[in-house]
Amino acid sequence: MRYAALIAGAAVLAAVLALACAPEFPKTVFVYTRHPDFPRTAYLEGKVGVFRPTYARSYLVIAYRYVRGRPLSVLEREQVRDYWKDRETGDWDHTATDWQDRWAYEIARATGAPAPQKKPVGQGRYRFDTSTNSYFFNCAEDAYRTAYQTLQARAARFGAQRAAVRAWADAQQQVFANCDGGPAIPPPAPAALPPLIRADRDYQIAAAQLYSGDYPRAEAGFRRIAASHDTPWQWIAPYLVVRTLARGAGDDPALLANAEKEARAVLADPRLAPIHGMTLVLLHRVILRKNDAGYLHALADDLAGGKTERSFREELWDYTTFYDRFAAYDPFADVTPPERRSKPDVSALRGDDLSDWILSFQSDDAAEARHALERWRATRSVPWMVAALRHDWRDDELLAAAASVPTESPAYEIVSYYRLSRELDAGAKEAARGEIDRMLGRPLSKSTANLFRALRMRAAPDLAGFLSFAARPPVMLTSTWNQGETPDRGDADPVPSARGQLLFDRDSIKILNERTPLRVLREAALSGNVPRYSERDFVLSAFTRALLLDDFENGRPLSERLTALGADRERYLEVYRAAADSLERRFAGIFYVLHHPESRPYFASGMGRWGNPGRIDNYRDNWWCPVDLAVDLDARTNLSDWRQDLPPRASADAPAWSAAFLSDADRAQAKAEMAKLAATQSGPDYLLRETMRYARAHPTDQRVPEALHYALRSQRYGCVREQTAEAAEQVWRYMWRRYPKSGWTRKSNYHFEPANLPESH
Amino acid sequence: MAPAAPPKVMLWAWERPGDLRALPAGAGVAFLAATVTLIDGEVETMPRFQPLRLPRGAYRMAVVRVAAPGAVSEATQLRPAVDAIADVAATARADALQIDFDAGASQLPFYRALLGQVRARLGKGLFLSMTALVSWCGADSWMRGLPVNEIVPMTFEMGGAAPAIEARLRSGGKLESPLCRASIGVAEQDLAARPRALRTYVFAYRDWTEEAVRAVLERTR
Repeated sequence: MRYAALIAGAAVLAAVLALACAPEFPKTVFVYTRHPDFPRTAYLEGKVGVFRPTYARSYLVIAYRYVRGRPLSVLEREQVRDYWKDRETGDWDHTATDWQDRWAYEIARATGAPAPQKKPVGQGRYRFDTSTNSYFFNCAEDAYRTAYQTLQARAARFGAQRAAVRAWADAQQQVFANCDGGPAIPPPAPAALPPLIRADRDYQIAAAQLYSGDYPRAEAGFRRIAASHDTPWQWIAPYLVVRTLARGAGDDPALLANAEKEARAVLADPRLAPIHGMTLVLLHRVILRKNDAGYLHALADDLAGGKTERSFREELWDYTTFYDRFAAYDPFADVTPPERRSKPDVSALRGDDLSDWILSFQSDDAAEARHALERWRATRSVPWMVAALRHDWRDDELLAAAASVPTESPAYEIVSYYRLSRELDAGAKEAARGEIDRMLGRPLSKSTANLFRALRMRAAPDLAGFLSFAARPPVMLTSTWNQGETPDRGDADPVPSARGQLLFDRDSIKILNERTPLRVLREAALSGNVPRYSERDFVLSAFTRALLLDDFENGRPLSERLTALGADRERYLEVYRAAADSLERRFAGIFYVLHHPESRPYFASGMGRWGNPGRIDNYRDNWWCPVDLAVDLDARTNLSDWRQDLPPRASADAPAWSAAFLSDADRAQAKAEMAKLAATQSGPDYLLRETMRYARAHPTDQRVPEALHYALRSQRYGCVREQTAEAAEQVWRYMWRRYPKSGWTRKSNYHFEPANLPESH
Repeated sequence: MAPAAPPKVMLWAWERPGDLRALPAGAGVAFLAATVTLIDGEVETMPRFQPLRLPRGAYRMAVVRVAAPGAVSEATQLRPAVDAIADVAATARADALQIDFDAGASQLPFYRALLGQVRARLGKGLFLSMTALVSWCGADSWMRGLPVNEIVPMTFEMGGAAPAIEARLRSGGKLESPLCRASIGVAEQDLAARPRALRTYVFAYRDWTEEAVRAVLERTR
């Protein structure tokens, strides 16, 4: 029996809610933005690569530890894996351990007894409380992990005395029987058993009493253990006393005060430092049931300082939860206008270095950028160097310091990434090229490798190099609904033919669309270096651009390539190539484009347009939008995070889009061509206008009614402007007046009611 | 021994925190204890996590909601579903058990088998209640002969059957099947527009407060 997910991540849930009514479109992920690459164990072990500001904050805590030079201990890493399980993401990596299952397997193996059965509802974790008529989380994952590890340790130690181990295992089975049932309390250990097993038994008895709800006896048992020096459980027993008191207190203020007093005594005792973190969490989460900035800072100091050997899981959970409150986290921020979004409590988040760093690293605010640089100057610490670099500072001192980060540092890749980005922006492409190649020679995660490929693409000295680094392996093919980049969603692989293919990311598309002249685009299209998946669309886009620019010199070879690719079964392009004059040629090209709604004069990233060539897309990704669109040009389906505010179109003149293989003359030519393309307006505008122009000049051409019909169709299903309808109505009136008996005319009742037919009809 | 029957007024308490410690005598609570979902040939369970405080001695009925968005299979899902329901009954130790399953037409044989096995597992000493769609309450109801102590037709959110049945109920008429007349499930705001029954289950779209409970008891007196 499967157990339903209980702890839905708030962000994931919100994303689903926010988009519940939106259509989903294919989404290509080249660099994970919400989490590290899979398996996340590499990240957990310090290979943090180029971690992103958009990662969930728990990942940034881990990155901070490593770049600060405080690696996570083995125990902390283990607890992060448990944290991932708490967040219901444990199986993303296919490496997480199900300690409950491991325990069941191990106990059966060690004792020969059948594996313990979980109850259908309680599942070995949840116990029904008759005082609240509800279930509560009774036995957490780490209880099973501790039992599993202890069983292994005892088996290793008492291998020759299997009776001792069996006795231990039998008692532990009884302990866990209380998790979703019971009561079942193990008997005191016989004197014949080894002292260690007897000490274990005392702990098992107290634990069973805790899990079964017999809090007074459990408290007494844990107090005895805390006072004993002959038990391996002494270190944790004071914490368990607090936990028992807290559980037994319910809502009783006096009993809660008693639990608080006990917790504060633990926190005041430096000898109990290993359990301070977990006690602090318990104090705030269960006893005080409130939060303040002081608690956030205490958690941050613990997490940052490695004082969480035994409580990383709990403290990380509380820290990220409380951080969200101070950061005014709003799961609906993406669909909330900027002026109505909640603002973070900056003064509270400044109170400790970790929170301050996360705020500055994640924020796009200019004040945070300045703060990051100031903090770096004040501290010279690597985390603040990373934050300052991420904010695009071209500070010589900062860049020099970045260049001195040793290659073995966990921060080396991210610092190098930002530093080399700055070098490319400054035009030092040749100098950067070798360094980027060296970086690409390192064992990078796929996302980090794609980030360096993006840099290498900009540094490529020629078109072939540019194309080879522009084409990258995606890390995930999914849908726009999957905002969390969750690997186990059923909508993975939305376009099976894209599986395993190299695809273009948006950065290369931006350069091709806005900085590259048609001559170079033709060269690229015919080079054989365009990924096979994208080639047909790529050639078609270059051809459409040539058509709009009336550039037959480039249009002709592109049309030939389209024919060779099988993209012109009707042989419309033969007419284009054989045309006697430019009007005739343009119309022949338009006739082809009218029959191919996937035509557009710009290139698409990722999986591109969703739909078959020659077929109308149901979401109006047909023909093209004006090239001076306010957002970056791409397939409409790639712009379909349409419920969110897409960032405004970045200036093509920005250094980030400079590419070494393009000369100044190329750039000037591309700019002039873009201006001409913009003058043609949207696809339907162009198609309606030019078809009419041809129709008036050649009214007896038998292709004209068909072309007019398809031009009207482009207005119905394509990307239009407000003024397009006016042009369409003129075409429609002309059609009915001029070709009233044509079947194409009869099929052209897209928008205009018969009552509005022209009087001459 | 015959099981103790619920009081005349039962309040449905769904999965939200509640404090009904001021519940007067004469009313009981049917609280959602767990949801059992039959999906993809498997059975998933979701326990109740929201606390509900009740006075000592209050009549408690544990409700198991069964959801089945698709086809159900007796071969793979019947036994685990019965196990889950029996587990709730054993752990909640309530006075009664209610099963709430809006089964589709093709799922009715499964539902019948489920109720039979639950009864067999839990014995006749348990008061077993079931909710019913009003569309099941026609003259020739499929529910005839089910091994339950009570059938509670839910006369709210009635879907497509609503207008005709709503009119009938508002004019004081009763549901056709006698099986559906002893108890009735009513939304709080519809109390005045429903026929009297021996037992009334009341559903509220808000938190139960002392005042709301008192008002319900007034109206059902």
